[in-house]
Amino acid sequence: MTCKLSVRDLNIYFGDNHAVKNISMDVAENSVTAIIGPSGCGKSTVLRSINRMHDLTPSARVTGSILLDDTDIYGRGVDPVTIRRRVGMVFQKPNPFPAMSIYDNVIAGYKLNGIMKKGDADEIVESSLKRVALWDEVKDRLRTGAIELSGGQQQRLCIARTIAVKPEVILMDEPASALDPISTLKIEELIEELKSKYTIVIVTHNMQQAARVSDVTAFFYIGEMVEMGETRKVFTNPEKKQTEDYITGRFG
Amino acid sequence: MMLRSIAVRRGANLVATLLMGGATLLVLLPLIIIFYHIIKTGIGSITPGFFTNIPQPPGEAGGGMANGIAGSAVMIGMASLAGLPVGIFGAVYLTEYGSGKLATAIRFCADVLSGIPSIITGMVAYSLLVVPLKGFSALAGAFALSLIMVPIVLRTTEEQLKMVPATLREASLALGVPLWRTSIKVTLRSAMTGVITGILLAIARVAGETAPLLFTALGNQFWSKKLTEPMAALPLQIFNFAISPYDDWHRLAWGGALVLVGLMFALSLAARWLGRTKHS
Repeated sequence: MTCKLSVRDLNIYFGDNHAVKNISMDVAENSVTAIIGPSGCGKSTVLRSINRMHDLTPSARVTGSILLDDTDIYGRGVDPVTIRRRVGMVFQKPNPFPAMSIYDNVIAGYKLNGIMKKGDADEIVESSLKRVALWDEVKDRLRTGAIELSGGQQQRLCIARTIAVKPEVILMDEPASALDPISTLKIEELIEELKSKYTIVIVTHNMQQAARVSDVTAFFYIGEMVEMGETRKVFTNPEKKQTEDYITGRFG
Repeated sequence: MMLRSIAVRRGANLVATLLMGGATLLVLLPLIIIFYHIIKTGIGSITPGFFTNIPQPPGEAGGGMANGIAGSAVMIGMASLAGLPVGIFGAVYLTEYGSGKLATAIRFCADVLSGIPSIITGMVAYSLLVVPLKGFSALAGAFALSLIMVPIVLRTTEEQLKMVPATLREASLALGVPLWRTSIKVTLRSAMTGVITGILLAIARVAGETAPLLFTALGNQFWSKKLTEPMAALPLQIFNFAISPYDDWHRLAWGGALVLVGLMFALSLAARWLGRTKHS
């Protein structure tokens, strides 16, 4: 397995708050890596650092390096926009563009950048929606507003929008935490499906979910990585007592 | 403690209700009086000719305010062309890029600018444009009006942009859309109805401004052919005709007042209507 992402000595500060401490981890290509841990452990912060979402927060400071293949995401002269085209992101709450139709939402990455070629749009929309198993549900109403979809459909639409621009890595920040169990199941099946083509890093509060969807699990606690390993091993035979306490529900 | 009898409490309730109702009426009364008076005295002057003719010399009946209406439209149009982009994109800068001291300073300046009496804005436009160009002009009038529009549009647009949820911005950025495109195509577009409401209110505000035009556009009894000449404007004509000793001109002034108030009313209604559809 080749290494897609390589995090080295990552530290993230918000003002004086040292939120993430000395994280190093490797993410294999076409795998699903889950990051678990109690609220405030820095898992979302690490996730958002992988596509430079912290650039917008003036007080945020990142040190260390994250290699995407051979490119240091935080290297000198690296444009965050090019990184974000390679590293897509799905957010906790479904956030389709409310003023756009289902169709336009799928190709939003092209349209907003002004690089949509007329002839390609139909095909991108169809293949992306098929890939997230939404096509049959919406093919007759592609021109209606995206906000008319249910929460679960909106989230799958957001995933379609993300894969439409052909990223290499997809970051998912608790993608199912705002959804009902059936929609959650669909998202989880989708993650399984997507991993053949993409490298996925998912943050989740739901340990069963991490156990179901991921190949590798990392457990974070107060800004530090306690343990990282093969998911089955982390959940059945963790090395650290803290991990065991957390996954057995003794704290957190 | 003993409760007062029910009759006393009912009485107190009645008195309080009447007092509050009366206060409400007192608030509405000036508005009703203004509307009633302007409609009663102005409606007689509103003929098709009012919108197509220029004023007649005193003593001759008829005549209209066509040049004033057109002049106002031209100057408000030019002021909007110059002022709206500055106000809107200034607001985009403040919310999307601006942080720290510079943004605070700009906000403070905008607040001071919107508090400056409009006659002073007129004097500034006079010294900046009328004196160097050696003459009163529509250009100077439009410049003065745009100075009034910028801070209004800047602050209302900024308030609207702040209300756009951060998740939308992030959605766009995560798709690899640069911040400047995101600001314009996602954030600004999402806030568009609110921004337009602010624009309408800014237009309504400057449409009635008289003072800044006194030293700039000056006014004109006839049609203006060039933007570098003095130009008529509706509020200026109302002012000039109202202080004249001629009854015909007084009637025209009332007609002009009715048109102006009607325009304000329509703009405010449009702004309200837009604001309402946004929240439903």
